[in-house]
Amino acid sequence: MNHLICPHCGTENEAEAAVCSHCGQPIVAAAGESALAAEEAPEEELPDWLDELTEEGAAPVEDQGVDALLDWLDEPESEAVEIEVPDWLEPEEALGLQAKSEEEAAHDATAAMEDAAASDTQADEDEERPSLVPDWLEDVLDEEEAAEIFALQEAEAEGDWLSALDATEREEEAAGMAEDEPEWVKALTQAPAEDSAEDETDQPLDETETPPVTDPGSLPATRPLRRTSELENVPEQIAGTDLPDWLADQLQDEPDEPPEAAPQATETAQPLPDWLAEEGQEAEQAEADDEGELGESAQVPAEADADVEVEAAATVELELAATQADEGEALDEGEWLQMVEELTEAEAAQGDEVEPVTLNLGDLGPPGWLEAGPRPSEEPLPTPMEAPLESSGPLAGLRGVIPIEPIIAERRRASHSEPTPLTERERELAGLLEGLASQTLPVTAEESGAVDGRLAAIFRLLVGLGLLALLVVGWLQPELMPFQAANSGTGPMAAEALAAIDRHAGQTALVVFDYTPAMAGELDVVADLMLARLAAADVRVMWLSQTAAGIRLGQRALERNGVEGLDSLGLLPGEAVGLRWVSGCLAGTPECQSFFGREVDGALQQELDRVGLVVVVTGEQGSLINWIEQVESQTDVAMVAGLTQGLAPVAVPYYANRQLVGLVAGAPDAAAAGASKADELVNSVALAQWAAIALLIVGGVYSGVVGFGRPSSRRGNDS
Amino acid sequence: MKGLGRALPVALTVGVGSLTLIGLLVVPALGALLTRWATFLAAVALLLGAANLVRVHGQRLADGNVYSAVLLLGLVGMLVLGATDAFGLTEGWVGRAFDLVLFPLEAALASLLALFLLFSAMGLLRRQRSGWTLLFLFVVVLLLLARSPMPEAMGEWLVLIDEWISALLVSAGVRAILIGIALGTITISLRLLMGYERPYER
Repeated sequence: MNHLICPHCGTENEAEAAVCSHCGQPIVAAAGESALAAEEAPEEELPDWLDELTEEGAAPVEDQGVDALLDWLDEPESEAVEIEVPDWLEPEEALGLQAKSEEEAAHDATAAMEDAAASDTQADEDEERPSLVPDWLEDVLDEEEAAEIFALQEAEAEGDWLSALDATEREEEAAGMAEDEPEWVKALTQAPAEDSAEDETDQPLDETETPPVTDPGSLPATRPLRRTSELENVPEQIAGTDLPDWLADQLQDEPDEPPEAAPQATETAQPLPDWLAEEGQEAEQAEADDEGELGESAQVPAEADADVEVEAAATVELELAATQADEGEALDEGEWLQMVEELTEAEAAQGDEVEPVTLNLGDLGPPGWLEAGPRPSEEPLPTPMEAPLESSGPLAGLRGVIPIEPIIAERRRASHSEPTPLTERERELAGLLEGLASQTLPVTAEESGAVDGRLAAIFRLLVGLGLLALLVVGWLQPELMPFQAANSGTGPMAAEALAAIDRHAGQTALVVFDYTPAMAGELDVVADLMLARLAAADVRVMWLSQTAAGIRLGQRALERNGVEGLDSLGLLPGEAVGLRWVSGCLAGTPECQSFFGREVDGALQQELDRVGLVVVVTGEQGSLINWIEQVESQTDVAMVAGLTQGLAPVAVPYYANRQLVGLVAGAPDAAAAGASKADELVNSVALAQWAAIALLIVGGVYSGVVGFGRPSSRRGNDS
Repeated sequence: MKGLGRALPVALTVGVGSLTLIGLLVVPALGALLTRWATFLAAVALLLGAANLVRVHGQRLADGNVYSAVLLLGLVGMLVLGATDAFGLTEGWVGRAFDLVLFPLEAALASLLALFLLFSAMGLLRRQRSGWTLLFLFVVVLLLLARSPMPEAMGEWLVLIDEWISALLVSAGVRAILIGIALGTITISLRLLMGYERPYER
């Protein structure tokens, strides 16, 4: 890939870049000369001819950078003299010509040389004579070769080429124009000019020394330059590199011959390459056929080979440029092309005096890449003169420096893009990753606290076994307990409950066993206390339960206390609704025709009407509240409750407002009321209860003192 | 059709609830009738629950769940024993099965509750140390001491403290809870009657 070297800062740029990406300077200013003259004229403006092209909407001339030159140097040398021209000079689409035969090509080449020379002469009449070749060609041409070519062209234009060789006049003109040349161009042209002045310009050429124009084989040889190091003051970018083969091939026949040993063009003709020699021979034949038309019928056939024409034209250009270089002229490419165009116009105006030049390089037009213009996306860049000059910093002296820091420091609003829609598969993967990530912490915590967890488990096991042992000891050896629970005395609520049972002697009591085996250990003793009291007061008992297990527990309780239930009302479903129906039956409403599947006959209805006391033994809050709110509040019957110790605080408010006549709160109250089994139970659990109290105190103190040094953990082990 | 499917349950609920309320307040016969229907439906729901239990655990049994097999075996076994007791083929076998299986198991599980509460109380300070935690543990220890066998002199003071705490602090808190429950029940009832609460759509 070719790159362009900026002639101003030396930065490597893209091949199509119009301006340097580093310094902002236009690279096109050095097109064709970037390899030679970038350093000497860093701010040189575009040539006139390039300005004209760009004004027509074309892009700047493509730069031929060092890389391109190096590519050319890599190509193998050919023995034929192949003048490689720039791309925009090449071809058929640029010239609009078609291929033609070699014979015609040779003839056309000769004619082109003549026409170019004639145009050169014509241009000198109107204005100061411009250079017929661009600088990049002048730099490499031998002075004497250029002088010879120029003399030939000028002579042909005037009709007498011998008389045109006025070396003195050309020296004067060259001296004046050389002042405009860059220094490195002067240096290049100085030494050969001296030689050529001695060899040629001081000596008028005679007719025999004049190279035959119609003979391509008599083209002057070029100086055998091979490397740019043989030139002086070349730009750094190409210093030390080989010359492109399209220049070096001109010297291939004498590659090792020093410049001063170059033969005189008029004395020894350079052997032409095969393709050119053949054309020359054919051109000679054509000249023999129509010698008088030479120089007049330089009309290029439409079918001419474009490549051959271009090569021939380039040869003429080289000759003319060599001539001008001999005289020290330094004309740029724009003037060169402009001159050709003006020549065409002048010839057209003169009619038949000068044959029209159909091989007009000015008519070639810009190449395609030049016509394409700048890329639309590119913003118009400031010209080098518009861009401010950097005064400080590492980029001092450069124009077009874009300050980046203010752009970076500029405040910008963060843009929140719309959430990316996720597919179901992506959601599953995200959930899986999240789950894996969330499992990392527990694993780590478990690993870190593995020892603590094992110790806590052992501790809990020891505590559990110890409490169980205390329970067994207390149950088997109640006398070991120094204090008896009965010493605490019967509470007022339990006394009220027992008194209410005594007051309903001879009546019917409805006993409710709403508890499960889970609470049977504590409530059985309460139920035993109340049933014994009911039996002692000769109270008839009707019983039921809202749970299936309660039915069985009630049967066992009645059997234990020797109480024969008057009747079992069985299972009571429906909770509050069922209790509401029970209240209606207890109230003697006529709607109570059945009692949960059992027909309410006269006997049953009488027993229901005699119920004056409801004894609720339960360990569940809902059951207690429903019985109070759905039955007690809807009837006139009294209600006492046998509850667990934990449920007793819930019943206290109902006791306070007399919805409950009395209550027995668990085994301690039952024990205090004289239940023997309750006393044994309390005494058997007393040791374990004390042990639990001790553990709570010690644990609380330990956690309060030692644990304050560690952070509180809501998810830690309970141990 | 979909709108009717949603409106019909709402209309039934609102209508029956309003009639029940009116019956309980104004027309006792109507209230008693609806209450009887409700208890009958509750009994039917119990049978439906048992049937659903068989269906669900039958499916799990087909998937190889052993515990479902034990449950279904116990259910069928108790039904058979109940039937034999009812028809006089056996006597008291349901009670024996209860005494030998259900009572020990449920009592054993409930007895672990004391240990769980104890360990939870011990770990409370480790998890969440605050003044309220200290107050909670202090009250727990105090009540345990008051309700355990103690020397007579010390026991009297502890009983007084226990009664004061139960009568004042605990009763006040429980009353507040009960009042809240009552208000919540009224609110839910009104929402049901107005159609805002539709638990039957869940």
